[in-house]
Amino acid sequence: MATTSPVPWPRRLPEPQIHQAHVLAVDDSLVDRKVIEALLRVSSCKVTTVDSGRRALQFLGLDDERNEGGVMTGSSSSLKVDMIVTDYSMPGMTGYELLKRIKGSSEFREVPVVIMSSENINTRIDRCLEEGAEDYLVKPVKLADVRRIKDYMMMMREDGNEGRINKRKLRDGTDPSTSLNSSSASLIGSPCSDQQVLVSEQPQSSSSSSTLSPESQPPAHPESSDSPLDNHSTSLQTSQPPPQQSVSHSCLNKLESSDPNQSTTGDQIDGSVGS
Amino acid sequence: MERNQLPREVALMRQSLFDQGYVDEQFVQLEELQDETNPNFVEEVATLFYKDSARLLANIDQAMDRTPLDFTKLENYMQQFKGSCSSIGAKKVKHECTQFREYCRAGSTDGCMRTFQQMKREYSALRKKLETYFQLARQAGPSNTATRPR
Repeated sequence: MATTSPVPWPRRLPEPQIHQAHVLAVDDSLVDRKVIEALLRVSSCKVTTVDSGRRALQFLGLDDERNEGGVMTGSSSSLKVDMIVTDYSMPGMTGYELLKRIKGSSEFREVPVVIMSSENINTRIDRCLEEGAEDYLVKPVKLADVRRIKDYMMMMREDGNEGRINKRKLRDGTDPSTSLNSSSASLIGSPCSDQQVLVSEQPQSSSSSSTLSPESQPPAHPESSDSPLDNHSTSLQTSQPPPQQSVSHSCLNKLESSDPNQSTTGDQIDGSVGS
Repeated sequence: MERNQLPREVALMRQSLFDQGYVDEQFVQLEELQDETNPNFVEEVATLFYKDSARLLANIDQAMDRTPLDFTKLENYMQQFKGSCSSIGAKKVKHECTQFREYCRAGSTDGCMRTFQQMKREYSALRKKLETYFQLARQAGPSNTATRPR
């Protein structure tokens, strides 16, 4: 564990490990969003949740219209999602339609998409897989399911897929997207890096998906003081808002345990960051 | 109650939730998501469930007042509700949802009405059970709630 560090706040140096996967989870059910978020967080992923396909597209920068939130200023690839998990049955745009949009886009077509559904319908499953979904999870989703789908991200990463943060890039520190990606973990990414690399942003990075209660945030985070949008409605909930972007998401921590310690992976609370 | 009795009481109560069929293995999954940073996760989800489903149930209530019943609409509502029940492991309530949907498909007003009442009873019963359980669990201290093994 790091002895002294220049980090002003005592706890939680980011994990000096590989890039923390960032998953976008789409589900119109509030309860399911909470659950999938926790499942992913516990599996060491950063999570952004949205409640509709449309919001997902907005987040990714794939929506055609200028959206009300003024989401993306930067390039959409700076958002860096490593995987998208979406419910199938949603009002408005189904998960299947969202899947098609994603696979039809140049920026995100390589991103693994997983469908979740309470219905185990073979024709539906086939259709999704044919359209390019990596997997189809029957709800209720379990930890074992999440562990399995995480592997899709790993596999893709090892391929060195374009647009994806991988270990090599991290070590080089050349991936421009990492600077926008508030995941401090990814900046520190390389396992060899020393702890003094400073995470200016959110030292407690990573897998915490609930975001930003003031006490856990360094002061320099205006995003975190976004008025929490109503959790029930529709906004985005993200673990770490990319700093440059005035994403109209809420940095919510209402319903979640308002615990000041956004732990990284729940495995390491106190920056017991190895090595 | 002696403080040192609490952990045992909590464990017993927890076991009875399973034994009596109130919750199923999904509940265990939720418990696995509890850890130091999220010590009350299950309670939070349950709270969220009740809060969120209240609205849906009110809609169903209203729809149940119509004559004749719009079975398609009811089935859709119940589909959503059932999904949430499933996600938190609410076994008995979920079972009633399934029954209800079958009655919808069969076009049975009577069946729907009976099942809906039964479902509401289970829904309330579960809430009480969970409230008691969570309260006791909190008193017993975080070490006594099921947490994800480190």
